[in-house]
Amino acid sequence: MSGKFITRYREDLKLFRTTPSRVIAVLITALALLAPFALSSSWDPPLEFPWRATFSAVNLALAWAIGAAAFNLLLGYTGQISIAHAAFLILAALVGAIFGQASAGLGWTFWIILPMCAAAGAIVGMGVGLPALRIRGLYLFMATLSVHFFAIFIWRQYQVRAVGFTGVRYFPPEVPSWLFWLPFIDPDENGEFLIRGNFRWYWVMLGVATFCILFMVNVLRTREGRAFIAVRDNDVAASLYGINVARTKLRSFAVSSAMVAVSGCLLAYFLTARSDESWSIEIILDVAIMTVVGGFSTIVGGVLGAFFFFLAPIIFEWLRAAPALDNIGFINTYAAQLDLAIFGFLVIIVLVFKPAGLAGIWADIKRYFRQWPYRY
Amino acid sequence: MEKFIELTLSGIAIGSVYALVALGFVLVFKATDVLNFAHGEFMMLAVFLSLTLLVSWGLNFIVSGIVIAVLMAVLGLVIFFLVMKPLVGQPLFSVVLVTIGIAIILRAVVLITYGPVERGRINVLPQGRFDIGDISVSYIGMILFGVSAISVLAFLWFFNRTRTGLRLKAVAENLEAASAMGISAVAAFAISWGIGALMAGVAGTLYSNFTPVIDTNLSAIGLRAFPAAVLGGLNSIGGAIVGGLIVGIVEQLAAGYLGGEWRDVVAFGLMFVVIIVRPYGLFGTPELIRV
Repeated sequence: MSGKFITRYREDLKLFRTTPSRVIAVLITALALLAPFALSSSWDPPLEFPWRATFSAVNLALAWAIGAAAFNLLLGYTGQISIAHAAFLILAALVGAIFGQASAGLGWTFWIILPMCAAAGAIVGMGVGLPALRIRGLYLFMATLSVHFFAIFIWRQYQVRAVGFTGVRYFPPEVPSWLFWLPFIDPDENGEFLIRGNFRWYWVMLGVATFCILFMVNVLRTREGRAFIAVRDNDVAASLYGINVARTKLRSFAVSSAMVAVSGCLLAYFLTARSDESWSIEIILDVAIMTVVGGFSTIVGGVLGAFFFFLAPIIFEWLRAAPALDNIGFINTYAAQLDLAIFGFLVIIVLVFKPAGLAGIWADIKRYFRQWPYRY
Repeated sequence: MEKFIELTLSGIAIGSVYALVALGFVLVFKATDVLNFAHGEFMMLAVFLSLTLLVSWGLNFIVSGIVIAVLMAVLGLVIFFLVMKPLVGQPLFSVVLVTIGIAIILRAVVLITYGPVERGRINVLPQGRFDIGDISVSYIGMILFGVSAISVLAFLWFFNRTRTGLRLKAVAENLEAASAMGISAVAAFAISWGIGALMAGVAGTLYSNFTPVIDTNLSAIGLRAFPAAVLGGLNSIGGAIVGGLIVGIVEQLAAGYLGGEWRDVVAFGLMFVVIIVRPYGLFGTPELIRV
């Protein structure tokens, strides 16, 4: 065993425990701050890589990273299987549609809607978590599957009554005028600064995603977070240690659902339109792809998985345009379906050969460097 | 009153198809402890296969039904040996996720083969209705119920009267004891997967003549296996049959009196209530686990 030893409890609780992890954090921060300038530049990468398409994929990945990490929080740390993911995306879209700046909304500003979505997600999440107090495992999985259908039904009812069959449109949020002193914010001729386009959205996505993911990571460092893990490992033993199992499960559901709702709110406003067709059963499949390939049961896995899910199709697209493959009509006609098939195979391959996913590979890389030149 | 009876009858017809789907699902669950999320896609695939066999090739309904059932059984065996067998003993949710992976692949294959455009119903079966007194019954409903009943009886005969079926039951009952008696667990698992997919194939062939549109959303109909199975009790074969019928009847009544958009909610709402109140369903054995 080589490397750094932790001798005090406070050290174990630190967010960045080693020098390399601090260096990596700095590098990721620098990358995150420089990426939007690089992505919006008119640089043409070699071999005609679809550079422009990458930007919106990065934005989607940031929004989904919150949702996927929240799924992993609930599944990986509290051990509760809930696939009612779409229900909270719908809830957030509904809150935005009723109160926010949307086709039939009350016109409240996005900056109020976002925390409202989180609060609504937490409250409804506790409601969805109630069955978890009685049942677990498979039965919870199926109970949350029915929540998915309830949410779709409510959305359809709302959509048909309020806006008709076309779906709800969301209008770009404004930056409040007292923030105009910030760099890069120059109001247009109407004296407002609308958040639209990938570059402006990126900063919102980055800020909210960073906040939410750090929030989840930090929750796991507190007593509550350790209670989640205790409940997962053995709920009877946890209750003997004075952990209120019911309350812990509900809290975990509340945190996870609030985060999914936040990601749903970001997605609704970023994509500007949502209709009942946005919420098919495929959302469950998408979340499964993200969490499995990224590595289920870790927060990092959710983030990596979300980026993989949105960036991989761009790379596939680029490979398809390569001269050798371009002539095969079949590959280009069924591009989206082939991507889906590749993802399906990846899910199975990852689960059979590397259940920890991308996060596991990342951990292996770190271990390799920490223990170098020894194998173990 | 006529409306009620007509809706109930069409509920029994559609419910018998659900019973078939649920039967295959419960069989796989009971024998191998795998919750097969791809079961809905199995049924969807069978519906699309009948599109090819019945419409494009113009095969006879019975012949195409048998061909599809055999093809689906082969698919079940292939999936078992390629994917599920290496995963025996893995944590529950990993295996569920693998079946989700299978569902994704099947969905992609169907989309590539048949394209994303939705198709109309297949109408090779007699279309009309006949009247008994004031009540009108559709021929298709009768055929659905009849074929399902025959399939269920064949299924029950297989499990209670044949040597292989009894072995399967033994494995489902107690894996270790069955293995000690020289019954091959792998063979039993494989046969369960084959028959499970076969039942979905029969259900899909029938349903393709009933559904108004054929598209990939049909996998949600295959997922009716969940409410049907939960209602009857997840590990009860008889329960799956009764559960399927109840889900079908309740769903048709809700669609008839409240409107078509209530179908999904009522079916899955029923499941939700049953899970909360009586998780082991009507005929299942209670699991004694403190939660």
